[in-house]
Amino acid sequence: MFRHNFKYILKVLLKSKEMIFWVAVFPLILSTLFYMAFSNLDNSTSFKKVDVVVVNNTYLEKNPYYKESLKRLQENDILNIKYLGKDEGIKLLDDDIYAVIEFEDKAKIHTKFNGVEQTLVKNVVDQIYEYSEIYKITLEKYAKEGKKIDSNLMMETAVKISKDINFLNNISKKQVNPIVLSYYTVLAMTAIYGATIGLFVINTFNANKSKIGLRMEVIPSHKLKLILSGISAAFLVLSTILLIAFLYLKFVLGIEFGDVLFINILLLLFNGGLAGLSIGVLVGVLLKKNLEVQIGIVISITMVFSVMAGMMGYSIKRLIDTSFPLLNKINPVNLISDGFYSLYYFDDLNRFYSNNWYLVAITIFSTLITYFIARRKNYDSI
Amino acid sequence: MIVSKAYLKILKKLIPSLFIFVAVTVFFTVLSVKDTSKSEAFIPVNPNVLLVNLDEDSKIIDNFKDYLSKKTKLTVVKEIPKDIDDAIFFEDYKEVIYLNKGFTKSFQNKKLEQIDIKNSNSYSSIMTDMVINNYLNRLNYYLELGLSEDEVINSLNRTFNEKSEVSILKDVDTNQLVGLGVFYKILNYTFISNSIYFIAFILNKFNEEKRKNRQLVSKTPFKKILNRLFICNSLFTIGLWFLFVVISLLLLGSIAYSKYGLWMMITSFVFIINCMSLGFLVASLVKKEEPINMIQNIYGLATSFLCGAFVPVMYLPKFVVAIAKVFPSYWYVDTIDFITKSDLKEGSSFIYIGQNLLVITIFTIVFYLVTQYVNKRKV
Repeated sequence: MFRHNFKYILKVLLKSKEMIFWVAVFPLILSTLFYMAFSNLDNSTSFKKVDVVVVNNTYLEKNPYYKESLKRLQENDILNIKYLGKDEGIKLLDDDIYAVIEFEDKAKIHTKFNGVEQTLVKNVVDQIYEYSEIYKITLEKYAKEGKKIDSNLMMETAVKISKDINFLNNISKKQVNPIVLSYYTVLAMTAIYGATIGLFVINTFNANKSKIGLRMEVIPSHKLKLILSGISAAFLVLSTILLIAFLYLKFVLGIEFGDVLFINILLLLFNGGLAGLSIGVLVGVLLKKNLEVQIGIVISITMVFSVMAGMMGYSIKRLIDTSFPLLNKINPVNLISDGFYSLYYFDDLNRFYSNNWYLVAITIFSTLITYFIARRKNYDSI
Repeated sequence: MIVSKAYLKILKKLIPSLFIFVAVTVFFTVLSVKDTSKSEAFIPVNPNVLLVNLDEDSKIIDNFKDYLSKKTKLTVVKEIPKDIDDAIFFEDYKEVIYLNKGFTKSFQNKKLEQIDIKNSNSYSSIMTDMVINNYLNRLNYYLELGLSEDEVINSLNRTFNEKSEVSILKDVDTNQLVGLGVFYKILNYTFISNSIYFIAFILNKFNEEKRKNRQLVSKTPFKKILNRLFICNSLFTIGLWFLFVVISLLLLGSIAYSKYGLWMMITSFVFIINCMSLGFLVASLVKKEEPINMIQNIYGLATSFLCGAFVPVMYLPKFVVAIAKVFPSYWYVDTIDFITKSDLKEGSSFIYIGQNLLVITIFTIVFYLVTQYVNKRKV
């Protein structure tokens, strides 16, 4: 009976187009969209030249030192400079030019918006003007010492001032790309969308929800056995979907999961899937609405959980993690995506195991409540 | 009248979904527009930096802090925070600087050593690296020049005096203008989702076999029923547009009343008409309710991600931009971006906007013609 029912539920699940769409197809489409939209973001946020116009005026001609500094900035890939008249430059601000720089006694920078690029231009221009102040200070010092200032000394000073030593020792962790969190959340969302499969199974066995349930009620087999066979079929379908989704993210889209053991990935995925299924079964037992309404509710709540876990921007997850930490500790989507994050980012597995234990707790809690509600269920006697 | 009543009856049931869309749009606008403070002058976008000072306080460390607080949003702590790695990953701080014990001593001994940093490897953190390195190079130069401790600090203060001023050439508050642009770009998803969901859902209800049979045998000519439905959907669409225009006025204030706001309103109106025609097209193609939700989600999210509504077009790969051009959303987002950037003073600006609106209108006509074709084939 177990095997027969397992096969039967498996067939029914695979033929349910709407459910397969939400659990299997939608996450793949969403992650592909993320990939198309974000694939350039990693390169774009790393440093690229800032396009500026420098006004070709007499002040600049009289001070070749400024032109020399600008040339160096262009060579060092910091600025991309066009030398134009002021009006021409200002017209270009409508296009991709961030700022127009006018060198005078005090530099004037014309721009249209506040931004990181504009701030960088201001910093760089300030740095160019710093050189003349350093010269002044150096000459004052030489004068105090009574040094003879000749061209050799000037040249030597210029070399010393332009010397650029790296005083920074970067001890950051190598892998820092917060965008991966969006993909992890999609995978976590898929696991919790598994709740719709759990709903489907429990509705199939409920006499007051479906005709199949009515028939199931009268067959000479233990109900627990029937439900277990249904849940097993559901778990097989969900695990396969999760595995396909993971392989798609890892090998087709090339998403980084860190240098971790595959068994840890499987543990998290299956643990998350079980939590999803158990939540679905619980909702199915708790709500008396029809299956479509129940699915709608589960999908909406999962969406909210996913947003809270950082699917639409990691700043939301961070805000909840720091301001309402308990909220994300009971959010199963966050527990799964945070598990992937900890595998990707941290060297030890403490946080990963902690997330897994929370998921186990959610599964046990949902199953126990389901059990207590289901065993008290009676149908009217005729 | 009966048609309008039935329309309203179905619409009423869908109102909670509309509230969800309103809430989501407002939420993401508020989240995206982090800084809507009034600023007609230039405000540097300084990165958040954490300075972990593990050394004793000294004059040189105070000077370094002063310098950093002018160039960054600086937080100084004496101990390494517990969740420092999370804080870097989630970019609470673009850069963390560790001033280890002995920093002041190395300064006094005139032998500067490297300082440890951690960063998020973002654009801002690279800029911060430049700022810190610049300070340390200047400091090192003055030490090598043989200046005394006090002379070094005075010289550093003289050196880092600001020598440039930035002027913003916009006649409005730029932060608020950017915020308005973000709001109208998010409306791409809101308008598409609502139009497809509401229009297709309601028309689908009217097309259910039993209802359709009743319509066919009723006194009212079928064509009149269709006209009524068209009027109801048009009124709903205009109402929806009006609702979000009012929200923009409430949420973003005076900038929404400016010429920029006005042009964005016009653009969004042309776009929502396009969304309405798309709603009709989906209704003509779909027989059941379930696929409507799928189409709404996929089309809404796809166009929002690929056409620049959620991620700025400048960050999208070239091939994605090329694909995006076949969707009306691309031309809508491009127009909103253009309005945000342009001064709207020259004729060429209005020609550009006009051309984009024409492209959206052509898409609307195409959707309408395809709907007509599909409906005729059905008959």
